[in-house]
Amino acid sequence: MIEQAFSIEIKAGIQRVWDEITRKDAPHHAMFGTYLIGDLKPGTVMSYRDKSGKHTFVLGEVLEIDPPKRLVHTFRFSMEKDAPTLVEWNLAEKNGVTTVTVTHSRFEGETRTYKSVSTSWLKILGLYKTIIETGKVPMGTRMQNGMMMGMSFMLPKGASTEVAMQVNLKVK
Amino acid sequence: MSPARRKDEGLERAWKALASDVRRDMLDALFEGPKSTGELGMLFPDLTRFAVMQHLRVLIRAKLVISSKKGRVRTNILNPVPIQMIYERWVSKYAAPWAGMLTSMKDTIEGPATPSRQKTPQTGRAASPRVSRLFGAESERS
Repeated sequence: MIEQAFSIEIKAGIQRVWDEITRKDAPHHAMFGTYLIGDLKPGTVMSYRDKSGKHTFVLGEVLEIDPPKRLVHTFRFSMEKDAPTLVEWNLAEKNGVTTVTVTHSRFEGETRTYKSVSTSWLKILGLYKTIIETGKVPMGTRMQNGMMMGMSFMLPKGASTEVAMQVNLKVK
Repeated sequence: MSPARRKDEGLERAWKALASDVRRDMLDALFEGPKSTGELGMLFPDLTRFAVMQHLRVLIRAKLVISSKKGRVRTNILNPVPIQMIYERWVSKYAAPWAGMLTSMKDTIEGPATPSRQKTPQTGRAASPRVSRLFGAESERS
C-alpha cells in the first residue's frame, strides 16, 4: 500500500487553523503563494491557482467537508500525467494545540507526484505552522514564491487553467 | 525559561524515541512504506510482540509514527515532520555554513549559473521540469 502521512502540532485553536488552510481571501504562502479557488462543497472542484487565475498548479474534487475538522479531496498536479490521488486533512484540538494530519494515498506506484509531495507536504505544513503561530511569512518563502510566479510564462500547457480543468479528477 | 528552550519541548519525546536503535530500525522499516503492527513484528524476530508494541507506542507518542485503524488492521505510517523539525532546528544550523561555502566554491569554479542559462533560450517545455521541481522541491532556505 502506498500512502504518506504528515502530522504537525500548531499552537492555535482549531477554527483558526481551519480558516487559514481554507482561506480564499488571501494567497496561501504555505502553498507556494497560490490562491485557493472553489466552493469547497462535495462534488465541486477546488484548485490552487496563480493570482491571474490563468494557471492552475494543483486541483481536485472535494469529496467530503466537515469544518473545522475534516476535508477530503482528490489531488492532481496539473503538470504531471499521474492519475488523481487522494488527500485527507484531519484537524483535532487538545489544550489549545491543533494537530493537523495530512494523509496522501492512492498513488499508482512511486510516481513523480509521489516523490514530489513527500518533500512538499513537509514544507507546506511547516509553513502553515509558522504563519499561524507567528503571523509572519518567512522572507525566503516570499522570495521563492515570487520567483516561481514570475516564471509562470515558462509553465507547460498542462498548467493552463483551461487545459487543467478538462482532465478527469476521479480517483480509481 | 528562555523561549528557545520552550520551543524544543515539543520535540523532547522525539529525541527520546530516537535514542533507541530498535526504534530507529523501526522508523527505517516504515520509511520503506506503511506497515501493520504484525508486519512490523515479523521484521524484528528477536523481539516479543509485546516489546514491538511498546516501542511502537513510544514512537506514536513522539508523533514519529501515525497509527490508524482500518477495519481490523492497524496501519503504522512514518511521520517525517518531527525529524524535519529537528533537522531545521539543529542540523541545518551547523551544516549551513559548510554547505554555503561549498556552493560558493562550486559557483566560482563552474561560473555563475544564470548567464549560461540565458545563453540558451528555453522553450516552455524544456523549462517545465525545473518549474515543477521548484514547485515540489524542498529548499534549504525555507
